[in-house]
Amino acid sequence: MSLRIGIPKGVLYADTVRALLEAGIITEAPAENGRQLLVKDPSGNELLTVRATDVPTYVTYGGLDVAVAGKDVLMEDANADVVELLDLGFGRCRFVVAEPKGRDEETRELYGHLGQVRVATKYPNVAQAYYSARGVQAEIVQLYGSIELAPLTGLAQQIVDLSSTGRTLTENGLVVVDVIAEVSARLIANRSSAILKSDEIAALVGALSRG
Amino acid sequence: MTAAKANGYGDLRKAPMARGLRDVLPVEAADRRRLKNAALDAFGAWGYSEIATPTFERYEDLVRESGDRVAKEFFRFFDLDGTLMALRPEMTTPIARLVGQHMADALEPVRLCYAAQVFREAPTLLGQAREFTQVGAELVGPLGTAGGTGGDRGTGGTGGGAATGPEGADVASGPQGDAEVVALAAAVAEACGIADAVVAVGRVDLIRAALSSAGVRDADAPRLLAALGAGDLVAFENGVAEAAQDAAAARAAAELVRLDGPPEALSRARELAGAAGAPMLDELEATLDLVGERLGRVPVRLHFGMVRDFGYYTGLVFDAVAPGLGTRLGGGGRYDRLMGEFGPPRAAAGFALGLERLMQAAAARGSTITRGSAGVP
Repeated sequence: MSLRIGIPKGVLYADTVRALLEAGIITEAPAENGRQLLVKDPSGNELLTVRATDVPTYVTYGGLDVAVAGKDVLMEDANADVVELLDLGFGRCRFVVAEPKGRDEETRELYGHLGQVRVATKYPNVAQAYYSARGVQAEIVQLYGSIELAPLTGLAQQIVDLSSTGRTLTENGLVVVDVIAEVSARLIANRSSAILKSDEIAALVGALSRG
Repeated sequence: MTAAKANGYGDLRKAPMARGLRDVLPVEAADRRRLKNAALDAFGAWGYSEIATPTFERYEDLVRESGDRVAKEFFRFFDLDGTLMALRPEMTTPIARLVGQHMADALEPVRLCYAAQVFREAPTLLGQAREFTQVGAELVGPLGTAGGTGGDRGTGGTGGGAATGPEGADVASGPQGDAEVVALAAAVAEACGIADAVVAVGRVDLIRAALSSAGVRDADAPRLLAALGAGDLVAFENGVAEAAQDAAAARAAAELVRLDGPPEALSRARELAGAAGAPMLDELEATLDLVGERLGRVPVRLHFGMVRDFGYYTGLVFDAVAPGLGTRLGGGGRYDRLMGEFGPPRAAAGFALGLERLMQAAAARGSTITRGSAGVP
């Protein structure tokens, strides 16, 4: 039985292809932005390059048997219902809470008066869960890019974002006030495929673990 | 101006439907009727009697502490008496109440089946149906059976032997009862045109025992089981490694939850589960044999990582899947603690299959069960 394997476009693309090649799962690297979105690899497996945020959806509905997805996407996607099989180790970064340097007292005081903190983020579910778990009332503002601009323009007091080197935050005068979670690339599988194609998937997990 | 507009009704063809709800028009209705009949006939052939429960009941009767439905999934409202009511999200809890109220003295096993609408609220943006149909069955043991190997009965023998109830007690509890519901699920799927359905089985008590063997404290177990139930094997493995006292047993537990395969995989499971898991695996082996006896085949795959709704199921837990259908057909298991919340404790096991899922899978297989002559009910 062949597997339909999803490869996320963007930041994780190159490392995913490398891992699959090294593990012998695929024998040719598919083009990230090629016109053909579904490619039959000589190994017999089918490869699909998929928008990173769509990967969990494809896997949940069975459009893909297995795929690589960032833990950030998995944490944010409330509708994902997949089996998470392996931490692949690459694509490491962190979900952090950040605010303008030197403003923590001001933020706290403002919280006392307004009863809430306004938080800008691309990840509203992760952010909401973080603040709720701490009993902090937060107004979550959803943005789709350049989140670090929000505190600069007074749109929000804090941001919840992914950070790897921390350089973007520093360049924008922001400091990390808390780390929410460690993030990395994960191998995920459709629940039915995990049952019906368990041998192939176990072999895949074994090959990738050795890499 | 159309006649409708002239009357002030506007254009009803463009009236937006509330999300997650839809009408069923004649062609689909006829298909659903045929599929429902096929399922109910199959249940009937196995000795199950159809019942019905109210569409809505007191919220407190529907939500159970050990239940698998989270509060936010309920549609709730107050009636004129000021009682908080809710639409039923599933049928197992209402049936437990039905049995407690009307069949409390039953000395024989009780076999009940249904085809019913259930209702689950879903947050916006989800495209899911908020009303859908389930066909399912519950096999309830007679008085005196609380069933099971592990769980509340502590360390005991196998379920069949430990149930010191009346004649026929074995039939509904332990391996016999487990085998009946698993075989029935496969048989109903086949009657609905899905002859290649596979039932993936696991046992929550086996995983609990494995965690216990690894020295994981009872307080830490729910968190780990929740991760496993959510499909997060990475978090489970990391969590067990942290919480366990015995590293070798922790590794064995991590391997056990990844163990999938045909019934032959049981031997590897025995190696991994050790003495603590032996009674459950004995029961599971007996269950698989009995399924073979009843069906003439064993459409079962072992999937030891399956611990969905672990607070609710006490032993066997299973999913029914159809090759090619990305989402499961349905599932069930054994829940020996539930009946005791509505009456005397009794062993119970059951399952539900989604009618819409059955229809999708049947259609993909070109099944003619759902197809009659076009437009003829």
